[in-house]
Amino acid sequence: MEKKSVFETSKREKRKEQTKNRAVVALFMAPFFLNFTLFFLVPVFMGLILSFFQYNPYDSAKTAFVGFDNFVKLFTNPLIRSTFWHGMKTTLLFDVVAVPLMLLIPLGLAYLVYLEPPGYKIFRAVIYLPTVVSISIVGIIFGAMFDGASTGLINAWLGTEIKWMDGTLRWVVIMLASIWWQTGTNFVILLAALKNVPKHLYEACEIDGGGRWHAFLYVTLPNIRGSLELCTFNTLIGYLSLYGQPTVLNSYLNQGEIASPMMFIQQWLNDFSKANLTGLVTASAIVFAIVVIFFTAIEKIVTKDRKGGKDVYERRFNLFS
Amino acid sequence: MNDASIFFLEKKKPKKRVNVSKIVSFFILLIVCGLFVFPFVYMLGTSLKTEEDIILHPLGIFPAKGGWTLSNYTGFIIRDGKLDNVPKWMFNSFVTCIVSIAVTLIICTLVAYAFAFLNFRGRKMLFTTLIMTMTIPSVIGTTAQYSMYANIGTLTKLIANPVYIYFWIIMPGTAGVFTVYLLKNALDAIPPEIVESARSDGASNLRIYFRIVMPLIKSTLLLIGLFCFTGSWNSLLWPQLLLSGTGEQGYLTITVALIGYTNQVDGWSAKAVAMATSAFSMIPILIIFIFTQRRMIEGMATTGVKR
Repeated sequence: MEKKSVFETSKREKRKEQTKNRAVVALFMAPFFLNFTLFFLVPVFMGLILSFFQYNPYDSAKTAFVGFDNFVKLFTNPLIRSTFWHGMKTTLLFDVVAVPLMLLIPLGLAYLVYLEPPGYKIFRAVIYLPTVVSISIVGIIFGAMFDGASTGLINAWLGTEIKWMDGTLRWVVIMLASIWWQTGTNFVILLAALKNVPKHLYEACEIDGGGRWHAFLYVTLPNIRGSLELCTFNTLIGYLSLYGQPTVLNSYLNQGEIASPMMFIQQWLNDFSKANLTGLVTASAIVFAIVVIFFTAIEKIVTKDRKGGKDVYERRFNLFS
Repeated sequence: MNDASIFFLEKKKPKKRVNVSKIVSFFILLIVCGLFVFPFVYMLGTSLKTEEDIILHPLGIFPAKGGWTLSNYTGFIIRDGKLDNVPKWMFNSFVTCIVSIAVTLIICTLVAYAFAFLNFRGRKMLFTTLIMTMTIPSVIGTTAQYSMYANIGTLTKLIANPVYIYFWIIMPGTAGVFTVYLLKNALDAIPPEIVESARSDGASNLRIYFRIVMPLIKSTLLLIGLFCFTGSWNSLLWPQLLLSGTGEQGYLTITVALIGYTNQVDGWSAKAVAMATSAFSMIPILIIFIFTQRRMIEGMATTGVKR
């Protein structure tokens, strides 16, 4: 009976139903897409356009099309070289050390916690705890510990007066602070991945006479590669966009130094006297974005699963592969 | 496999070997966790010292005998009979967090519901396109976003208005594509029969959304809320950009305000107050951490990152 009545619905009613359905879909989608358009799509689109203009957000009457001028300036202007490109170089050098460390340390710790020694839940919580602290607090604590005067904690212990916040040493402190602050994120992801490795694979490996190292190489690694890739991707993007650590761990005298592209964008946008250069800053953001895309694409190609087994995560980012 | 290895396997007691590695891992983790806890202990210890104590006894973590003081904590809550800035900053951060959690959860769950349970043309393509936008570095839009804020603000003369500033601080982060992705994963795990049967009983989509679907993904909602809270409480770059121009100290969020204590001159003397403020501002996040850390850590295992 009911089936029949469905077939008998008139065309008009069907259309009415359709309009109602569309209204429901619109109701559910509108809030998100309105927000997404206004605060993501429009700015990104506007950014691409702004980079070809001389533009001042406080005085839009002076807007003028300048073609590729901003990009030419970006590559030729000596001031840009000592700020933006200096920051780019510094960040890339730091990342060469930081990104591998920020993967290996969490992996090592995750493996140790995975063995479930007594009290491992407490260890797990302690390693994760610093990630919820804000970067300003990280700066305050590490800045006080590595104070350059003889009354700084580390200097007092060593009986020295090392200027920790100068030159290369500063990056060692930034590295230590980063390890303390961010190990937890990758650690919990990798720990979860380790726990999801099927136990019988280890048993099979042991029966085949494989030792602990073999088991790690041939059972653990292939089975956590999805998570490892996710961590690599996130860490790479996070450390290319380095901002917080060099901002809060710096010497008082050196505050103008630009140590990363994000710092350049932030400081120049913030500087009212440079408001006229908004187009140039936008161009620098685009160049920086291209660098980010370049490195993530390399990462994607290197870690590509050659067997073609795709999971949801891989499908998400396989634009480059 | 040869005979020798079988002999080897039988002889060895696996349980014992596991215990050895457990003990080794215990001691390594004990050292590592000692190092990880140390900065917190140092913060707490220094916050209880007097300024002289910091200069005279830099070696000790905790105050010298009789040097314990709580004065670093009382000073910044009420000063000269008036509410000081620190509670204001924390209030600002709280409001930011709560509003951004609410907006994020509402708009993202609605759209995830549409992607999971509503049928419309181009649904799959729209979702794929949305996911693909994640590869666009959002930094491209930063200057334009700031320009929009400054431009509209100048035109409407709202540029120094705290409500206007906080609108711009909160909104840009809320339409998170990754959040939608996580939510859709959670919704896809719900058996479609549940929704179907509710529908054939005549329940409207909004009713199904509120009464059936949302209660089923409570743990995912909690996890997203938690990450949203810590993310928004700790966010620095964007709020700093918008708040730097106001000139009004009371408008800052706690994370932006505390930047003022970093990059000090060598031998700076305000360490105790800086540490006390840090410790005080950590209280809310610490409370949340204590009650939810298991859920946060284990939630990461089940949400999003499978394998």
